[in-house]
Amino acid sequence: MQAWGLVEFDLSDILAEDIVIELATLEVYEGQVGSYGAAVNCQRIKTVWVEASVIWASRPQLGSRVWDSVVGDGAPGWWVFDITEQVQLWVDGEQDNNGVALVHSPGCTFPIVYSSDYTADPDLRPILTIDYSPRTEVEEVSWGQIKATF
Amino acid sequence: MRLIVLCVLLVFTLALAETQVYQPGPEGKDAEIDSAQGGSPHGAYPYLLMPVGG
Repeated sequence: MQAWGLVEFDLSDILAEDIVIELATLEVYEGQVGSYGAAVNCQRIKTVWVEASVIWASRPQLGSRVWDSVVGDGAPGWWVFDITEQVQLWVDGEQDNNGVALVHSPGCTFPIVYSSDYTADPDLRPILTIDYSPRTEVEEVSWGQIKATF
Repeated sequence: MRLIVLCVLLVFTLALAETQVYQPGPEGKDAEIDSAQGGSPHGAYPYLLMPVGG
């Protein structure tokens, strides 16, 4: 069996802003441990999907690049995926934001990872944290020019 | 002079650095899908991973 977790955040407040993404991390909570040592890859979702109707037979296409990967360590806790480059591509308008997929290794015992519909403890829902700063054009100055200035 | 301007610019940029945190509730968009799944969507499912087929 294969399984994917699809997740997309509404980033409309920062898309098309002239900013540099310093760090973007997706965190999801593994509440019940699956196979020890099984990898979960984080990949871009290339095509539009609809939460209310998406099923395996109509699954969206994924980008081939794995942005980050987590290997189960046998204990419940947060998985952290670095998707800095992906978020920068969305902000710059080079790719559409259709979210990312967490792709679990086939054939393994599956972990339980909470979604945004998890109500028992809302703090354990998926989190995307983005550190960013304004893009600044810095003029290149040689040491000779600096010395000449003083 | 230019060096001072660069330093001021750098401090200014760092001061403008921000952090945005997204953690939506049930209105968030996520879903679990798996190869044993039939025609039943798992979009309103409390789990992002935990295949149940269906």
